[in-house]
Amino acid sequence: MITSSQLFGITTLAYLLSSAFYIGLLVFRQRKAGQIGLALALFGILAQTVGLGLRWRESYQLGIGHAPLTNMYESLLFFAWCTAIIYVLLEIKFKHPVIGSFAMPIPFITLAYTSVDKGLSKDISPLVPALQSNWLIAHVITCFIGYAAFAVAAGLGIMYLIKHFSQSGGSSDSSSGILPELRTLDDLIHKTIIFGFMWLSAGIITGAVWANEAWGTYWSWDPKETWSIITWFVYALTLHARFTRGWNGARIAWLALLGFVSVFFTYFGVNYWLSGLHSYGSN
Amino acid sequence: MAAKAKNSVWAFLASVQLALILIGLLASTSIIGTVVQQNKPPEHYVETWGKTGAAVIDALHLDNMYNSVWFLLMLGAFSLNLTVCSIDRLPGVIRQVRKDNLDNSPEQLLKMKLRHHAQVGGSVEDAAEQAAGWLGDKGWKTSRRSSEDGSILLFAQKGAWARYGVYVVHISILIILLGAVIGSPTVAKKILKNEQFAFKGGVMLPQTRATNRIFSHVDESEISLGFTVRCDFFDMHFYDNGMPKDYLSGLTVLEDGKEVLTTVIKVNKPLTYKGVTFYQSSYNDMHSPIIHLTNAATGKKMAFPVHPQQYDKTHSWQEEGGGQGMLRIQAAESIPLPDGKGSTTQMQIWMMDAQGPPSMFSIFYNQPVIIERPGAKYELSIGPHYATGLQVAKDPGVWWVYSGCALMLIGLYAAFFMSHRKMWVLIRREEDGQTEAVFAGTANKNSAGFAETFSALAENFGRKSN
Repeated sequence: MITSSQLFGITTLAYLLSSAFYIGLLVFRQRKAGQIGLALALFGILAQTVGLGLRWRESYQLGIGHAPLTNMYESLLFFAWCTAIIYVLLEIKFKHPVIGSFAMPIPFITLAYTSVDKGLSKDISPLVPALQSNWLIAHVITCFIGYAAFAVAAGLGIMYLIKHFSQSGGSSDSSSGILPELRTLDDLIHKTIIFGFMWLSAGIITGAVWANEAWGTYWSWDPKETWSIITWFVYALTLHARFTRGWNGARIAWLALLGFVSVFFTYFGVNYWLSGLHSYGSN
Repeated sequence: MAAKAKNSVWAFLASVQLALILIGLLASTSIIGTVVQQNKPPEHYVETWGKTGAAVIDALHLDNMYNSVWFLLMLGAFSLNLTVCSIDRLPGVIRQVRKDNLDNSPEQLLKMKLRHHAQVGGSVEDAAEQAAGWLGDKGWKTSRRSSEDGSILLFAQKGAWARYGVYVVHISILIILLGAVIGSPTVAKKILKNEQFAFKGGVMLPQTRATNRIFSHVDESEISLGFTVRCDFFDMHFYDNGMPKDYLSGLTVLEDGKEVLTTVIKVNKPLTYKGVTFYQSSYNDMHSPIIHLTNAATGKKMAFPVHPQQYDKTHSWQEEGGGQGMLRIQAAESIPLPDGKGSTTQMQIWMMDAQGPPSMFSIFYNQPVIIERPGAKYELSIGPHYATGLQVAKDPGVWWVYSGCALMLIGLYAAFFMSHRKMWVLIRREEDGQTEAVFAGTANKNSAGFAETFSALAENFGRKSN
């Protein structure tokens, strides 16, 4: 019988090959490569979905049943899953498969990291009292859909900047020629940021409600909370600069990158470098 | 001159530049408080940041920076900016939403990007009826106006309120901040001079003990609850691997000495009574034993703390059917554990209740036993005496905050994903006597999406009426 960790291994490989084929599309401009990339991404998502379901079931077999969203390892799995799904939906809706060359490496690198970092506990452990709440699932899902959208926006931002600089450098026949129009990329960055902002807001709110249920205070300026609001401010700033000051193009692409740095710090930095309530990262 | 100066101040307060500066400042300064740990004793800062660093931290209140005057002033300026900006722009948006869209001239309609001309049979009046019916079936409720030249203009719109989305978000932030002010213990104490209005505090409540006061987190001062809460028991369980599974406290609320309600709280399951919420937050070992006695038939739980110096004191209780029950630890001795590691305590117990002769038996520390008496069955254990650590909060602002949060999500959805779509149909007689329907439309967002809806509606109508 196949186990969840075997399935995650298959997923990692699928995301790696998917990334490779998308990069093949970027470099060799073979449409076929993009189609194989998409098929592999879909296969990876399927394998990972089954894997997450199995891990959920395994936790019930251990008698401590809970959704696989409770420690650093599980959050990384879920982040990779969300990123891959958001990318595939983006491709289906907007039909720019070359974006996969910048987006699919994100879930691959995330999963690869989970197998490389030996300090990361992969055990299914029972829930400590603080995590025994229905808000857990709502909070984690909303936050991580937001994070995943911002990761994709950052990937789009890098694409934008590469195309932007190679165009201004005059080398129009490089691989950047196959990249979508700058205007299209700009629009996609904006759309993904809006999507992420909505979910991040919901994530912060569900977290606040949960904190109030557990500790009697919805906001305590704990480092994780503070970094989440800093991230929220960065994207709020980006949206205002665009809506009211007419910022677009490279400036928004840079802000998409800055925003993701803040997301990354909220997700990882706080757990590893600062002390606070979300200490699950230390195990 | 004065008016102009006022206008420029107003314009500055309403400006997006100010908003961008304030958001940037809030975001960047907030980082400080995540690096400098908050609310630690002074020694911590000297140890971590050195003498000079600690002096800077003290001068700028960086040890409690989110409550410092300068940070609160920034939040205040941010609120002012949001308020002025909303007051400044809302009238214009209201005008846009309430605009008389039947006022548009044919020339204006003919300039719109989304346009479709359809030849239709029948009179202008028939065609207008038909178009209104067609749009109505598709969920576009039309209003109409006839003009002097015999033409008829129909108008329908969807999502006009989406234009308010941005302002709903802005106002939701103000509501959240207002909720934070209403629920602030500092405001309650220093401005309202009524610390019972809003507070955050805690209390360590040993098993069997009751209290009608708690201690404020702000300044350790006593806050009266207006009722009494008693800790009936504290319990904790562990998973097989040693991780904590749950912490539970049995609490009873008393008013004027009468028990009002009894419940069990645990982490994530607080008790709220009269606006005051009790959270399970910690526990303490009192380093003295306690006797737990439960009547297995009635479920009545009793607990008797044991004073280590007078452990052989007699504890007594009233039996429900009358009569008295009594229990005493006659003797206690330390005996080694079977595995040779450490020791436990064995105690001789003397006990009696309303029926039958006294029972005498021995029990071990922390090992429950069942006592069968002629009239009743009891569960008895002698174990550590715990105090439950309760976090106690009264926050009358929390529903403001929650409403603000809900409003924010609604506003964000409207602002980002809804668009104000307008559709006009001008029906007129052409020079050759044919009746023509001119469809025109605009959307303030997602114009590509609306273009599809528009052409589907307009072209299908044209096809249908031919």
